[in-house]
Order: sequence, then C-alpha cells, then structure tokens
Amino acid sequence: MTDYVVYLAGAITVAWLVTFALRLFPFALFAGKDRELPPAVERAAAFVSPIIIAGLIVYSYYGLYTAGYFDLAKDWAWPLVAGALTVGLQLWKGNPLASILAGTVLYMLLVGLK
Amino acid sequence: MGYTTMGFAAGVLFAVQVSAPCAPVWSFFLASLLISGTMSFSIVPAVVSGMSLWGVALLTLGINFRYAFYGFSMLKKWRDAPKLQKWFLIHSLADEIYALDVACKIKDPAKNRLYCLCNHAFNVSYWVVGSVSGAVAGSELPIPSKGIEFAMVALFLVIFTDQMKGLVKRHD
Repeated sequence: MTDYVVYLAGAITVAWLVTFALRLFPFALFAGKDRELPPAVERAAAFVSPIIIAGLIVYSYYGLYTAGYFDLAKDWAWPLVAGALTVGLQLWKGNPLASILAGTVLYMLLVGLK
Repeated sequence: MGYTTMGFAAGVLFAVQVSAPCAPVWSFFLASLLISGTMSFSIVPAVVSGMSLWGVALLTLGINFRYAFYGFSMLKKWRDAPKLQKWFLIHSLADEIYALDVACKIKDPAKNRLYCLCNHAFNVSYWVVGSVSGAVAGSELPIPSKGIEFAMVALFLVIFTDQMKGLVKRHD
C-alpha cells in the first residue's frame, strides 16, 4: 500500500509540474520583454490544439470500446450516440455543462440498463 | 456552477476507480494542484493501469499542450502583477477561467487584474469544492458510476466542437 501511495503522489506531482510548466511557458519566453507572438506562430497554434484534442477523442473512444461495458457486436453505436448528442447540443445551445451532462447521463443509462 | 459539477464528476470517478485510502484528500491535492479538468479525468485510467511516471508526464504534455498558448494573451495584462499574484494567476490558467479573463472588457489595468484575480479565486474554489465533495460522495455513497468516464470524452468533444466553431468563424 505504501508503494501505491508513493506512486500516486508521484503521478500527481509529475502531472502538476508538466501542467504548470506549460502555463508558465509564454511568461518565461517573453520575460521582461514587451513582445507579441508572431502572427504565423499564432495561426499555427490555432491548428495544433484541435489536432491534439482530436487525438485525445480517438484515444478516449478506444478506452470506451475496451472497457467491456457493452456488447461490441450488438451495442457498438452507444458511445457514438452519446457523442453525437454531446456535439449536437453544443452546436445548438453552446452550453458546455448541459452538453457534457446530457451525453454522460445518456451513456450511463445505456451501459447501466444492460 | 460548471466547475463544481465537473469537479464532482471527476471526484466521483477518482474515488470509485482508484483504490487509494482517503480519496477526498487525494482529490483535494489533484484538484488544487492541477486545476485542469481534462487531466483530473485522464489521470484516473492512467494510474489505474499503473502507467510509468514518464508516461504520465507525456500524457500531461499532450493533454494540456493547449495551455502553452493561453499565457500569450495575458502577458501585457499581468505584466505589473506582484509576484505571488502572478504565480497564482498562471497556476490557475485553465480553460473556462481563461475564456472569462479574455472576455473581460475593463480598460483600467489594475481593475482588469483584480477582475481576473477574483475570477480565478472563485472558480478555483468551486472546482476544488466540487472535486472533494465528489470524492466524498463516491467513497461513501453507492452512486451509480458505471460509464461516468464518458464525462471526459464529452469534455474533449465540447472543446473540439468549440475550436471548430472558432476556426470556421475566423475563415468567414
């Protein structure tokens, strides 16, 4: 158990340090200077982030399909249906909390009612 | 409100899936150190599977890479902030908090910073309170939690949808 506690504390510390370093990056880069980001870099940044998030969506869908919560042959559409509800609501109303709650509740009902 | 609810879901997920003693205490540190909803969710399957610390570092780098760009819009606004304030502002520069900072139209630099500071302080406290109460509920009550990890997928989908909206708008 002690080993696990040390591991967990280590994992949280690592995640914290990396997260903080990322947030600090612009301030460290331009410390003491009055400069703006070159427009080309800003345009590139606008594309990098969605690509990473798209990768995360694929990665987390892989997690849903390998969790063994539903019959892959019969109910393979469930995660997609809950995802479609989330995206649809977000496009329609633009309320992140409502979109996330609706998608999650639907998914929990689908895998829970089995 | 959004931060409390998302925190609650992250707290429940942590308490239910990670078999650690005193889940609320862990959840408190996780929430207040990271102040990152996406990472609070993503770290759960990572530690359950026993991912190496290098793996956790890489995962964090990928998931929170977008934070490396948020500060650029705050450089001028926070230039004259006292050290401690500035560290706190940077430490808590998360998605919705950032969106509110950017949307603030107050011209006076000191007042604008005060607005940012209050925005950060309040939302961080909502987030931490939500996470800890979620972890308490998750470890004490038989809350149905099967499938709650979809909240993380939904969060990614919402971020992606909004990013796409932003890109489409820019090219109009």
